[in-house]
Amino acid sequence: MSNVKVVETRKLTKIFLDFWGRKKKTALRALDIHVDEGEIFGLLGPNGSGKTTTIKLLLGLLYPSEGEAFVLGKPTTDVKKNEYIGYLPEESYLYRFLNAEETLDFYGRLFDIEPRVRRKRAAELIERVGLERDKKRQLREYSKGMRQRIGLAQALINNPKLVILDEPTSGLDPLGAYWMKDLIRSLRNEGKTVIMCSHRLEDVQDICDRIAILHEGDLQAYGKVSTLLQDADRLELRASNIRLSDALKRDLEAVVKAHGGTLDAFGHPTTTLEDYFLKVVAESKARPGRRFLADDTAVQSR
Amino acid sequence: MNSMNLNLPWAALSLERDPLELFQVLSVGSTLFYLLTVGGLASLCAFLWFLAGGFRKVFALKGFARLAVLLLLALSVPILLLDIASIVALFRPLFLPADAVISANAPLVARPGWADFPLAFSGLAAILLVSAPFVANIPRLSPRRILAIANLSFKEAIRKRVLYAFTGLLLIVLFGSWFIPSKPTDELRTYVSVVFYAMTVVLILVGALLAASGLPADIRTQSLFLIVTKPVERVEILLGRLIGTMALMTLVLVVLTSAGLMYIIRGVSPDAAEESLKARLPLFGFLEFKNTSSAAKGDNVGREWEYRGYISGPTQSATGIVSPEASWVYPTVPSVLATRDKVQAEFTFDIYRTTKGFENRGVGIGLVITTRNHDAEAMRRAREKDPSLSPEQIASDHGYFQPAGSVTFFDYATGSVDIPGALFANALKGDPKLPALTVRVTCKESTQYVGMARYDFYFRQDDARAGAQPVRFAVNFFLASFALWLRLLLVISVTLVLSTELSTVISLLMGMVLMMLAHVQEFVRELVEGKSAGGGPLENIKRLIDNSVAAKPLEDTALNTLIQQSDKVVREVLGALARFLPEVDRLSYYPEYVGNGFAIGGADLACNAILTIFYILPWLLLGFYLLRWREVAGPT
Ligand SMILES: Nc1ncnc2c1ncn2[C@@H]1O[C@H](COP(=O)(O)OP(=O)(O)OP(=O)(O)O)[C@@H](O)[C@H]1O
Ligand SMILES: [Mg+2]
Repeated sequence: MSNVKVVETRKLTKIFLDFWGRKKKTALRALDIHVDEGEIFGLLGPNGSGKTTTIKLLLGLLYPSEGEAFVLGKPTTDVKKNEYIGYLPEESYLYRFLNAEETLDFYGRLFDIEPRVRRKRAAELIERVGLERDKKRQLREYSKGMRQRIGLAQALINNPKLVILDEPTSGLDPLGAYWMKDLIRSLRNEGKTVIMCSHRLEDVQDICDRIAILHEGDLQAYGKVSTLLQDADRLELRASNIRLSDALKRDLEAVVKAHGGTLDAFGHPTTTLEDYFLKVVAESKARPGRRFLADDTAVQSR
Repeated sequence: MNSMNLNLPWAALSLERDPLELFQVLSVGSTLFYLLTVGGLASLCAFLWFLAGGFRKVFALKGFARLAVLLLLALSVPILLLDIASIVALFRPLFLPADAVISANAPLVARPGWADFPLAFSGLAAILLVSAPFVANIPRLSPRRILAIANLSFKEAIRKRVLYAFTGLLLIVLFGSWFIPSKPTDELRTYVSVVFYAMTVVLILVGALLAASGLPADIRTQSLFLIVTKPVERVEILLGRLIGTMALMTLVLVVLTSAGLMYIIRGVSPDAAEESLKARLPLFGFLEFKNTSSAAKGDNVGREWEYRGYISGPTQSATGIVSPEASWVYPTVPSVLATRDKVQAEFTFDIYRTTKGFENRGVGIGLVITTRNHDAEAMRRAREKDPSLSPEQIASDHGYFQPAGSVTFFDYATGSVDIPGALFANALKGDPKLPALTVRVTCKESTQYVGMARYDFYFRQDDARAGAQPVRFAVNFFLASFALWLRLLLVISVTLVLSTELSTVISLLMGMVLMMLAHVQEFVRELVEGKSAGGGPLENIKRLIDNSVAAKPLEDTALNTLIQQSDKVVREVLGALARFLPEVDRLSYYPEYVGNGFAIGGADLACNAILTIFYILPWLLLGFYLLRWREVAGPT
């Protein structure tokens, strides 16, 4: 990971004013962060904490009330920086009267891409986001998840250096969310920088290298996920091919005590619901026709 | 033999304004006017921007750019001073005596004529200054992006089924005349005016609606967020939308025009086709009056909008009997007329009766045409020698023509008379400093007045004997449709620019109000000059509150004086604003030509195209700034 700063904000502040110029809301207060090349950066925070506002400021959709920001070394109002940026907004924003192919073609043309290159990239991306079967359907018929996929595809049409994703997993089923996270990781592997915001903490934890947590427009925490989450006072231990027993417990207690600590808890781990869900879906795919019957709460084959 | 042929009640063209000539539009006067008006606005905007923080940006510039901007700013100071003086002058009625007259056309700030040149130069500097950012942006514009956005707004309209709005229109075009009762004489005229009226209303409404709804909808649905985060120059969005909407309207217009034309060419009755399915190419002269109260206008009979001047029959005066006379002077004539055997002259006059009860009786008029080589004495001698001289010989040798027999003329009917081509051959010879041809018309009945305007008499440059000319008519029809296209361009551009900052409803309303005001410009001017009945707006409010009648003058109190003086300021402001209205009136007149079978002047139309484009340019520049400054995701 290099140290080139892809994004840098200096005292970035956004105050929303009403029609008469009176102060309505301070959405972001003196934000100072930077994003390095090649990392996945997460913006976290509860609803209304200023995540989307930050992204819009970086993209020049909003103008800062104070402070400034640089994206790829250029001021945010510079149109030229957009050549290298891909953006997936938070809400419905695509033209619903276009189909998937036309959508990608349209945004490709906005990058002034040659028709031949445009068609090739569009076909690749449609395949990559798994919409081949639906590429001729107008987006008005798309489900939320399908729209999110085509939205991601348009964000990648210019092969961007920086990808900005506002709630990429919102509206996706766990399978879709898993796919999305996989794709985001592969973007990093291609050397792209990713900024994403989300309030699905497990997503962020899974894939982000560094995060910033916002609350009410103030930066509350900022740094490497691994560092922020590390609890230096506690220790975790995992072992395989072993069963729980009183003897084991006694021995462990003795070892921990000998080193000056206390054994708080131990037992068989439970998997996360996400992992479980993925496992169930994977099994179902492997053996179609199986289904869950509520009366005897057992999984049966028909 | 009576060579007058009076059974042609078809063609009648009353032009309210002179057709434009290129040399007028591109003249020094109109260039000065444009530079003063647009430059005035530009300098005002530039200085407001400079004061509101722009100076920081100017001083942040480096080297030549900063020098250039500062120089242009300095150069625009004079026109700015004129602006300020004009704004102050708006309030001068407050300090003038109550009965002072206001003129809508006089400049607000009196100045010597030569002063307009340096002022216009200053205006040019201001225009350069405000358009510099746009010009600097031009190299970054990409046709591919603009066309992508144009294509998108075209597709949007199609897929949102906007075309359905035009099906009703197509019905009118195709079956209109089934429902419009009309005599065969009026068949084409009525059809053309109904079709163009319907097309104008529907296309302008739908076009303005499309223009007004596109951008605000994109902002509402946040679709614009994705576009402006691509490497798109903001003005490309404006241009793309303009091109896309215009492309759709052009398509609709071409389809409707072709359908209408096909309908006409196949369905019109042979009689009407013979007379109106053509494009007369009239040759107009310059009208003068003699022995009337005014040489330029003739007598005023207090009728209509003084479009026509009137001559009476012979009247008794101190020096004997005088005959008022109208004459059309032709400085030159085209040589093609000399090669014809016969050239047709056509005329449509208005009869004003001083005696009742003879409504359907015609009026006798006298008509004499002479060339510059005409010598009355020589002709008299030649006739005495050989009384059997034919009219052709007289025309050829003596430059004189008078129809045989008396000429009776009916109200609002088009009369025609055949003139030997030899007369024009004669007119081509001789001293080029003298006018080639003069047509003299007198009224023979003392109790009648005959009204005539410049365009009431003309020679047919095209061949009057050619019968129906569907091709020439079709070209003419399409030219009228092009005039409608220009109007669409105007409305759509203005509404689109307004919609970069305002909501759909507001920009649509403002666009429509602007067009409406432009149409009633004459009335607005009358309001400004205080010619219309009733008082100004404040006076009327006062009357509402007092519950007093409009006919009664206000009492002479200090408050009422103040109200009346303030109303004058309101009128001044209105008058100042009226200068910024587009000249759509001129564009609305073309279907009249087509319906009556007159060729639309190419130069006239080209002038209007130039005027329209120069009117739109400042608007587009405004749109450039509005969109550039707009915080797309900001509060709406
Ligand atoms: N255009 C606007 N006008 C006024 N206030 C706004 C505007 N946009 C955002 N805000 C306010 O700014 C604050 C931050 O909003 P923002 O959209 O950045 O939150 P967020 O962190 O993205 O929330 P969420 O998780 O719900 O997407 C909110 O209180 C919001 O009401
Ligand atoms: Mg948000």
